[in-house]
Amino acid sequence: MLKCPYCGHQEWVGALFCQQCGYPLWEEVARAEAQRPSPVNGKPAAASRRRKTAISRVTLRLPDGHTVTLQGSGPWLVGRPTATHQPDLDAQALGARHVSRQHARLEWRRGGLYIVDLGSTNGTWVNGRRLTPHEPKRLHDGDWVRWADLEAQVLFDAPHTQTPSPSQEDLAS
Amino acid sequence: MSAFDFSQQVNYYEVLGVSRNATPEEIRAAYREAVRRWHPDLNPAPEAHEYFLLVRQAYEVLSNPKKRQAYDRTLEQSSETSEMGGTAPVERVRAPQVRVRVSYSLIPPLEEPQLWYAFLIIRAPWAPPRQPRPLNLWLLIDRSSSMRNGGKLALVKEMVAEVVRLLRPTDRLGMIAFDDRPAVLLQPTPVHKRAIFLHALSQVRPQGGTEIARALSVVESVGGRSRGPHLVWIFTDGRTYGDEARALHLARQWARQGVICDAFGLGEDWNEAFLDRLTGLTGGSTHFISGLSMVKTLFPDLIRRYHHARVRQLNFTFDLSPGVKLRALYRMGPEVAHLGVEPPVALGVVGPQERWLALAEFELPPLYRLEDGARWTVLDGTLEFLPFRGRPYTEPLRLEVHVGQGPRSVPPKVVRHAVERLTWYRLQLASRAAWRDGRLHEAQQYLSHLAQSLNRRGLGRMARRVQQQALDLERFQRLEPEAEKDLEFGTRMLMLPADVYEARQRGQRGSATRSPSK
Repeated sequence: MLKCPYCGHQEWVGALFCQQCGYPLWEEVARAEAQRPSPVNGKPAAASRRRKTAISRVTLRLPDGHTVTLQGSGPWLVGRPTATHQPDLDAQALGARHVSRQHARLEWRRGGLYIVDLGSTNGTWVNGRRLTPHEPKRLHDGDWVRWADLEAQVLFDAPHTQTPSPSQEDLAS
Repeated sequence: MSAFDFSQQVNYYEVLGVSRNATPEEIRAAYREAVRRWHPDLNPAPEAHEYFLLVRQAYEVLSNPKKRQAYDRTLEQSSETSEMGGTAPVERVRAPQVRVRVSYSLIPPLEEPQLWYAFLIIRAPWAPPRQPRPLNLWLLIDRSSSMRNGGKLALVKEMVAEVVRLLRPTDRLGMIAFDDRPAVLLQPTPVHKRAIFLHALSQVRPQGGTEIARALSVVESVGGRSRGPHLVWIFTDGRTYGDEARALHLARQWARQGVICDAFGLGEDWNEAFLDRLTGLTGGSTHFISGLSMVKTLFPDLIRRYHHARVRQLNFTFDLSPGVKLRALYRMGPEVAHLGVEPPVALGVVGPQERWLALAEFELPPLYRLEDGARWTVLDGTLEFLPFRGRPYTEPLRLEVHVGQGPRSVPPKVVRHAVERLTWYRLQLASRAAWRDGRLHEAQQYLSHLAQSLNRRGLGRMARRVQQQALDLERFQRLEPEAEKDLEFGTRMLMLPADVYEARQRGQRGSATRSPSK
């Protein structure tokens, strides 16, 4: 069986998309394949080709100074745990009480880190602006994100940021 | 797959799949299509390269008027010496007709069952006819009392007028009005007297309920020996009661006689699952008519396809290997249809520039007992192309996988695309089923996942509609019938090839603003 990394639904091997949330499972399989050591030189098979879309570690800094590092390469679900499903960032464990079960998702896409609000009840804010549900927004290193009553600064190395990120100006104003 | 015999004398017209009197534009269009099919960069088949060279050679000769004339003369000479077999009614395109793309060609030998997908791209073995084929079309018009509401009967009259406008003088059209009892308004009549149809239609008064099987049995005698397609089109707004089994039985009989049945639903109460099965058995399709401008984009497509049909029907028969289950079979072009999984499956007809597209979803049994590197047959079948004249043409179709441990390839784009669209269609089905069971939260979850997936693919307009329905579901705790139809047919249309989808979308958008409100 395959487990959907997004919603946790169990699918048969060979499924290309999750039947419960539509997540492209084939991408996950291809990614795992690319990281598998090649029998020839012991290096990940597609390491050289993948270099361009290199992704860095994502860390969240909470207002009290604690930091949380997100495991793996994403996408990461932010939410509250349910009986069947554990989110990647457990807001409840960090003391938040108004975060939805499936609140938002963070993911690498085209070399950038994006955040999507998943239609949460109490909303997601980036630098004080509320996001439109289901519309991905690109994050910049140092952005402040608030999921209902959980707030954190998102820190990551952005290998491809061109100009100084506009979010810094947003913060200053 | 049929091999192309290079030793034989090739006919450049057949290579491009055009007729002897094709215009330069037709030749150019056929050349472009052939290049897309055979360019070695696009087609991995081993014979593609050779065939591609042949296509170029053919175009070089046929695109040049002088060379073409000279070539025509050589053809005439050779045809005098060779036996022509009478009038040579159809031109065969002697090229491989079937292409199959699969999700994974290498399957790991697991102790658990697996899913496997095959996408079929099928081209007719004959060129389209030079003249439009004469159609024999029966219209079955629902006149049950519910048709009175919302101007539906007026819309049906407009639909009939549009059909009459699109038909040619040599076509024949018959009309039946039905409620609990069918009444023949008009026996099949050549269309050159257009006024007759509109007059017959003016006598339709809404009354009674909807009983489709009785109406179908009146047309039972339609399959004749005429050269053109035999069609039955059902215009309805209701559910049929208690006679489904009989109607499906008739549909099966029709399929054997080569009759194709299409259905057009109006309003939100008609039973799409039943009509889907009925039309699917005959190779036809079911459509949701949201307004007149939808009709104006859809009907010309359909009539044109039947006028220029390359075959009367394409039948797909097959045997599955032990343990294999065909979970679902969807036609994704030229019209979307949920086909049956019991052979023979009728795939319907295609128009001049069209191909059949179909997605098959299989369950494979545990394969751990097989040796590494073994070839294993999933499906062994035959495609049977039935022409309007002459003998059927059959093409073997065998789907195989290699079993073994090895790196998993990335599924081809066409397969990913098709399976993703099927997944979307199923998400809305799951949502509606959950809603009916009273699992509101789940129903809502499915819809918002669907909206996200659509957004991810840049289908913002559709995503917003779905999101709105998710919100309505939360607020009013119910899914309106028209919302269900919108979900069903909105996601269904996404399974069509992109260009067809775009054209249909424009048509539907037009009707959303113009049609009278319910």
